[in-house]
Amino acid sequence: MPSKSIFDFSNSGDAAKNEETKEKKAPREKHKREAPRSAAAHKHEISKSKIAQPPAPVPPKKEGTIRFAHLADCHLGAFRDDTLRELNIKAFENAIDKSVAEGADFIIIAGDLFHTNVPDMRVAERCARKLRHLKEKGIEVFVLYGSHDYSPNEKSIIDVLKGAGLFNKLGGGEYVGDKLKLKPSEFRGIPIIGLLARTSGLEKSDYEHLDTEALEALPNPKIFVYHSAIAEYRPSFLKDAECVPLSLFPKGFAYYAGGHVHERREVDERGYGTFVFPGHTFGADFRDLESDAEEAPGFYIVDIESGAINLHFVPVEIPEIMLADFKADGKGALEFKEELQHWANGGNFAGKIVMLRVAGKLASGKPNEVELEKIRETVLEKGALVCVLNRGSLSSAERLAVQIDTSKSKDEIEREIIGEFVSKASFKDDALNGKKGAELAISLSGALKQEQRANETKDTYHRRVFGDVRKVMDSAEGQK
Amino acid sequence: MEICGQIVSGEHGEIFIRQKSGETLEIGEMLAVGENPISIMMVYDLTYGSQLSQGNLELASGMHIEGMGAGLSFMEENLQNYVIAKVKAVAYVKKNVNGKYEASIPKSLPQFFSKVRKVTSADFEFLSDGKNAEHSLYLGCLRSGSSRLKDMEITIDGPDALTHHILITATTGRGKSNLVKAMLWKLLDKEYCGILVLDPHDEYFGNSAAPGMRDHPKAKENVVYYSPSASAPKGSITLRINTKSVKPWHFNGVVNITDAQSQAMHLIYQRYRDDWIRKMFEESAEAASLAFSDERTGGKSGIEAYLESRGVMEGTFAALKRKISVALDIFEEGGKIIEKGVFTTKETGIGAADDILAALESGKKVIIDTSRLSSYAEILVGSIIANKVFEKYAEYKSAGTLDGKPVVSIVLEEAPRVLGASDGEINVFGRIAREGRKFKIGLIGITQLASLIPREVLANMNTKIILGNEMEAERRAIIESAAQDLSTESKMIASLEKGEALVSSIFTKFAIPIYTPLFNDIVKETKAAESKQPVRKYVGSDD
Ligand SMILES: Nc1ncnc2c1ncn2[C@@H]1O[C@H](COP(=O)(O)OP(=O)(O)OP(=O)(O)O)[C@@H](O)[C@H]1O
Ligand SMILES: [Mg+2]
Ligand SMILES: [Mn+2]
Repeated sequence: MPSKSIFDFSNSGDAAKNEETKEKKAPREKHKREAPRSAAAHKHEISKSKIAQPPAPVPPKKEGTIRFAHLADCHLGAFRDDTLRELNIKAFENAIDKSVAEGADFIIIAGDLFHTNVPDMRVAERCARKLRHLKEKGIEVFVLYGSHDYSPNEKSIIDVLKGAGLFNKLGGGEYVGDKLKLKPSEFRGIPIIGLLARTSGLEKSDYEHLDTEALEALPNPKIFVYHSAIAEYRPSFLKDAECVPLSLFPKGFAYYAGGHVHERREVDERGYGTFVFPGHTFGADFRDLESDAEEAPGFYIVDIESGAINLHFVPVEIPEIMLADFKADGKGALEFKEELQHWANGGNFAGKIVMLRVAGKLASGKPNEVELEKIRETVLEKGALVCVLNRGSLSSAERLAVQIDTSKSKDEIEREIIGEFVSKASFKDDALNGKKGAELAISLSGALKQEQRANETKDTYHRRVFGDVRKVMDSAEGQK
Repeated sequence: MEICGQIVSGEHGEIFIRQKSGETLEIGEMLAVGENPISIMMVYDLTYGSQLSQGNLELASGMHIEGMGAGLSFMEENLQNYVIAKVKAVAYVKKNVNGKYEASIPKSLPQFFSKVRKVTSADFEFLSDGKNAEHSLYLGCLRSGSSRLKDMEITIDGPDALTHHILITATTGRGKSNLVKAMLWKLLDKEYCGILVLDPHDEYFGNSAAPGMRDHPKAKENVVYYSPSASAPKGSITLRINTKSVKPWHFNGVVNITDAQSQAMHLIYQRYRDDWIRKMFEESAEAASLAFSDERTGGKSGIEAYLESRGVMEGTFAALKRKISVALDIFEEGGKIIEKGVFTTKETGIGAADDILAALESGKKVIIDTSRLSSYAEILVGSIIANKVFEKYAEYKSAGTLDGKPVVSIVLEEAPRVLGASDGEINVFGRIAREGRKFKIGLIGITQLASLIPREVLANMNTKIILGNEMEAERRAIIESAAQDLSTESKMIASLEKGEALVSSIFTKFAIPIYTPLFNDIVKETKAAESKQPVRKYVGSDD
């Protein structure tokens, strides 16, 4: 079977995952530190979910207290894997059930309730069912568009569910001249204002034009709901271009209900109020799951008690997540395979989500000789709910072992290596095969690796590179 | 062509010109001889000249003022008494057949007895010949004495000048900050450089009372403003730096730390890495609250015990912690960590240093309001960022990708505070002054007291913008390290008005007199040319 791409050293699953969501999360630093890389005795690390030690229970609701639940980033419909998709919905349902059980008067969902604006109807139905349940109990729900379920022309599942009367949609407002005037919703006299997200941080200009004075004049306690990362709290996995600085937020809100950043955070901000990001309820990608293994995801129960705000984090019930890291460095493919098989055969995976990560460079043999799929099957046979494979950077020394003649120039060596790889591949489009294919790859990489010149603006640079690439492609096309 | 005088005598570097009657020559004025080639000269001193002997002049004066010579006057007064200007030739300009200018330092004297005229903008066309406008660094307009040739903008090559450092000196109130504001304003839409401004007077970004960079049409895209103040204008980012970004070497040459303390610092860092500062405060806060209840700790934190096990003397940790505490404005009170400044051990400000680096790397101008910071904290913030830039650019250099990156320059007000002679270690700014150019990093130092900057550093600042300065010693320090021989210009520098300056640079053929307009006027000019705002739409409209 021809390989997908001759240059693909990493796994394709990883790339697919990257497309899947925009908010990315670096594995927690804590996690990285805890993994002793050198320890030969520990061939793999397994960290247990922390759900075993639950945080302090939420105290009973006091008389005269208004209690609400704050959820964000449920990403319903995320995951291609059926089990994970189902577990994600279950986590959401659990969060809602717990909110009800804790006596929430209303619920805020601060964006990305759904993973896409038009999700699978089965997913939508499950959510609608849960929302109807809330409606019957008289618990009001306030939902804000997130970056994933946003639609520029209001054609989102959010609008459908809102139309069905299942919740209030936050984020209403309009531009009056150069000022964005937001329209408050309210719950028993508490103003709730939402500023909706758009894709890739495009809402920043809305913040810049926000009529904050009008919002600041509203009576407290009041709640500001948003779905954006804040520059001052920017976690390392987000780019700063996508962040909004605090100074653009209206001041003096008792509670700032955030979403978008898949990481839990509470900050008391002087001059503003309490900023809270609950994090996701389950997660939308494998990195989220890895962080779930470190710290259970969840949501907040917030009490407004004579103007004061009290926070209670409530973890959702999700299956135990097991992280297993294996290093292939210096091992033969068969040896490594045996090690994994041994682990899989002896493991207790019942009811767990197993995240199997393999990385490193095999001393001999090819990555596919490790037969990770078979390992996965064993893990599933041993009772795992899901086994997520992360091939990360599993590579083979053999693959890199190209005969290099050091007397040759850099260019010559590059040509030879590209040629060698292309000769082993076969593509549908014949222009990509053989010598022609190699030439095309070489010219393309040449065009693409040009640096911006010192006297060039970004624009002219882009145009130049684009033009050059075009020429290369056109001439390849012409030869066909 | 208006004649204003004539060369009458002199030697190289000291030419005497007799001023034509009815004309007034000024110190600092530029004069020219010829059309092509042109000799450009500058007046540096003025004296009287007379055909009469001193004795006769004094006698005539006596008769005048003692009332004995009523009705007495000089015969042909304009011929007898006049002004002699001492000038020196500063440039020799030739326009060759294909229209290109060749300018050189004059090595011969202009024709004896040549008629001399005042300069026009056209005489200085050679200054902009062959220049890349994209890479220009604006300084002001050409000046001849006190008159301004407004249509002759003076720019120098930005990448060259910035990486070879710029020094701006003058006594207080002569327009140093105004000049830097003007310079930054014109740089805001240029991608070739990222600029970091450490702004101890919070004067560069602007506010409702005074305009600043925020008023530039490109401000939103290209200016990033950090301020610790909660009442800072909209769009600004709260300056908050997580102690995770602070490394032991950032204190080098910033805080006076003994060898023993430095060793302790590195030991702590080795053990706790990014959390080293937080641990220093946290653990001892814990120990403090345990001190009475737990005898085993003896009130000592785990760190102290650890340091002592590594041979660090008792007391070193406490002294080190005190210094770091003062520098970071982080204190410990009754087992609690109190953060009074911009440094925090909490979960915010983690990306700040990286964000600033990223902004600089993409050619943005980053202004940091340090007006509320202690001077330690200010320099430390600068040091953290400067170290980051340095490390990153050194990486690019070794990877061979530095060419595509913008130049980064750091504006330092009161530069001697960070560049001043210190007996201790050289800090990162000193390193940039000495070897920054190899990494495309430069400094723009602003000071009233250039004499406090070590000679070696002063000599490395290859563009000096000299504004008015009446202090002889200061003028001497600058002149001694200037790119041109300015020994005759000292007097002139003393008499410069606000905004008037002399630019001496290894990138200019001669010391160019300039005038930098008032920043507010530059803002008004740009504003007038601005276009209208687009109509905005919000998606969350009502149903
Ligand atoms: N080019 C100019 N034309 C007219 N007035 C000017 C000019 N430059 C500066 N001034 C005036 O002089 C005042 C002081 O200027 P500026 O703050 O730039 O001085 P400075 O040299 O930076 O002083 P300091 O040493 O106190 O920082 C300004 O408020 C301004 O009104
Ligand atoms: Mg100043
Ligand atoms: Mn989101």
